[in-house]
Amino acid sequence: MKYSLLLLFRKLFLSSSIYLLAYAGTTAADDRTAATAASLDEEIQTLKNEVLALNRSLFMLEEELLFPASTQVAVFVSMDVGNYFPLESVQLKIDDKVVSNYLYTRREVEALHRGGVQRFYMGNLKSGEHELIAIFTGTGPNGRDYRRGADFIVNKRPGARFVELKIVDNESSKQPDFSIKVWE
Amino acid sequence: MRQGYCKYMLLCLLLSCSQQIQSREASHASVKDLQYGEMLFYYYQQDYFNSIVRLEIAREQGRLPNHKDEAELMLGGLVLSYGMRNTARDIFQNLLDDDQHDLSVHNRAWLYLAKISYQRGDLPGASNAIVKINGEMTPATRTATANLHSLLLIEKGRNAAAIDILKNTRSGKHWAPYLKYNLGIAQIRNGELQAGLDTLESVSKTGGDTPAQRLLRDKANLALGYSHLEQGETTASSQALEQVLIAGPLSNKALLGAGWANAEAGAYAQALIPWTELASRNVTDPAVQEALIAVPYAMAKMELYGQAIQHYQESITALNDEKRQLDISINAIQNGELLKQLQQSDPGTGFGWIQQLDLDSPVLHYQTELMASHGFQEAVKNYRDLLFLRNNLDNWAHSVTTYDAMLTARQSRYQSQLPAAQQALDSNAFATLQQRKAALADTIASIESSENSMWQKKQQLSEIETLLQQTGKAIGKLQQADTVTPAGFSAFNQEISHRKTDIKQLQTRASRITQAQEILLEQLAVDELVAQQARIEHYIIQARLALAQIYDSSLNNPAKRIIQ
Repeated sequence: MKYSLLLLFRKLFLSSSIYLLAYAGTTAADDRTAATAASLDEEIQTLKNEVLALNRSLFMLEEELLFPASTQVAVFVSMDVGNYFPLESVQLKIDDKVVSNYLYTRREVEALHRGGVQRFYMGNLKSGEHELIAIFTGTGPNGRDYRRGADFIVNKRPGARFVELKIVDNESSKQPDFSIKVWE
Repeated sequence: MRQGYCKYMLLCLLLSCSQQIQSREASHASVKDLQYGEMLFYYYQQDYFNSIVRLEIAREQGRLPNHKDEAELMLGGLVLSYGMRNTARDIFQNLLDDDQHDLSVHNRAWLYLAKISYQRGDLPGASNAIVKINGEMTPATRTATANLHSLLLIEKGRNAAAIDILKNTRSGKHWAPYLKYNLGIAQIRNGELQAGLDTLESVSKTGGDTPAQRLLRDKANLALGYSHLEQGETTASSQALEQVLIAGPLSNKALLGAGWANAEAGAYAQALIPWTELASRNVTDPAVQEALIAVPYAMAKMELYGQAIQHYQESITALNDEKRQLDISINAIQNGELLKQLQQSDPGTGFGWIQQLDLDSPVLHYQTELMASHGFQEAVKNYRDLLFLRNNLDNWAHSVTTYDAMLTARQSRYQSQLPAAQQALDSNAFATLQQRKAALADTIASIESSENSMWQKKQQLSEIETLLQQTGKAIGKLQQADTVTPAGFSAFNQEISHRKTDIKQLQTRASRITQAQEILLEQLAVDELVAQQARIEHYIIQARLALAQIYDSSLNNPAKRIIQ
């Protein structure tokens, strides 16, 4: 019976990993499988590299084709802390025309909170002044619905224009502020 | 012999702890370039593919003037996370070859290189890289370096050196318990048992209620429990194992150990409490399978032979059922069920595929056991990446056709408008206007007398000048378009045509590699389940042997209470 006890005791510890290792990785067939896995992994790494390069070229081609630098406008959304505003959606109007509506997932809001910046809209505008209106919606304190707007005049000049819509915590009012910044 | 198993188990726990430090290491940077922030937006969602693409485009377009060094390190880290170790190694090596970077960039590049070597199992390579890190470091780099360095030393058996590093590393409040946990394990492995137990004891008492903090406490208690058990200190062992959360991921191992702590002390009735609980849990877990024969074993020890026989028989039935269940799963895998499940989960999410699986699938029955195998986990990751790449290529194949059509339409519109524009350009409207302007100027010079007619002529002259200006501008634009656009069209056409060829070639290769990966995945899954069947078979033999021994001894000694 002591023998049985030892056997069981052995298995108690082996159960986590050693016992499985004893089965795996010892036979010639297992070695072959491991070699196949390693060589396939190398091939997959090379494939990933090439697909990434292809995506890079195609995104740049797409941008040149659809949004030439002379008329390009890109609008980004970001958050600075954002504790006072649980963002749900953003609507963007340019010259009184809705150009984009976006509903955020929990993971996207989390990514914005941590410092990520979302490319929200890409479009073309003629040179001159244009009015941008951004409407942010979310659930505020006590589950109250929040709907806040911010507007801004963008002077489109030749060359791509980047506009950042930023949600900033206002510590003194304990309220969110919404600002628009044009990057040169 | 037992000592060896305990040490192995402790090492397993230690390794899983270190992974946490690595995964939590990434800190968030303040964004000084919009496009750097855009990359972070994808990175924080664990979408490595798109974060790499965005970072490389921003770099190529020169839009990261304020994040140059950071961007290179980030890119290396991203491609490493995306499983591209070769590219990552090249990026870090390039950073190290460039003398212009400061010490902090070099330190982080060495740390990444050490991690890459460690992941590959190249321990000398990892050790060579880790000792290159020196001087002032950020707390995150310092902690991750100490952690990896101590792991490498422990694996080489240089536990005293590992202890030295861990004791002399200052780390933030958040990481201190993790390094302390590693210290406890190193001390035990170094034979400093009491010091190790004291260190683990202090880790088991750290506060915090996040899942990671709870898990660390459970690990410390489990390591404490098994260490005490190894020393034959059964009471202390039970006390530590009882602290492990009953619903936590380590509770099965704790229950098994708690039973053994009692059994070692001869308290079989006490041992039955955790073992009976464990035996009622999901039988796919090897710890539960062991409990199935540990329960009747304890009963036999208590001379409750009738109950022991009944439980052995029930366990044999349960284990046989499990073997059949494994047969069904193996069959299902061989019929493509596993691949079907993996294909159905959204490759775009990059995570959480288990949650998306069909709960009734026989494959799912064993997903926890399958995913516990590192080789299988890696193969699944690669397979899901391949599904994503194929999806990506298919989408581009479609988009590029659209762009092709769009370009053709633009080109034909341009061609249709060109003759009229050309005609305007060729006609001598501009020259006629210039002649009229000169004639008018002459007329104005000759008729100074009549004010009225003078005003009319000057008005005409001004109109002609405006017309001349406008026509001049239009001609300029037209001439520019005439030279730029056809060349632009042809460049776009060429580019699209090249990319179409690339897409086709990559699609063919991706499809071939995917097929090979499918065969590999099925093979790995079947091998794993066959190994489980062999283990169950072993338990069944043990149970039958024990049963035979009870019958045998009751035949030889009829006084034994077979029937309770």
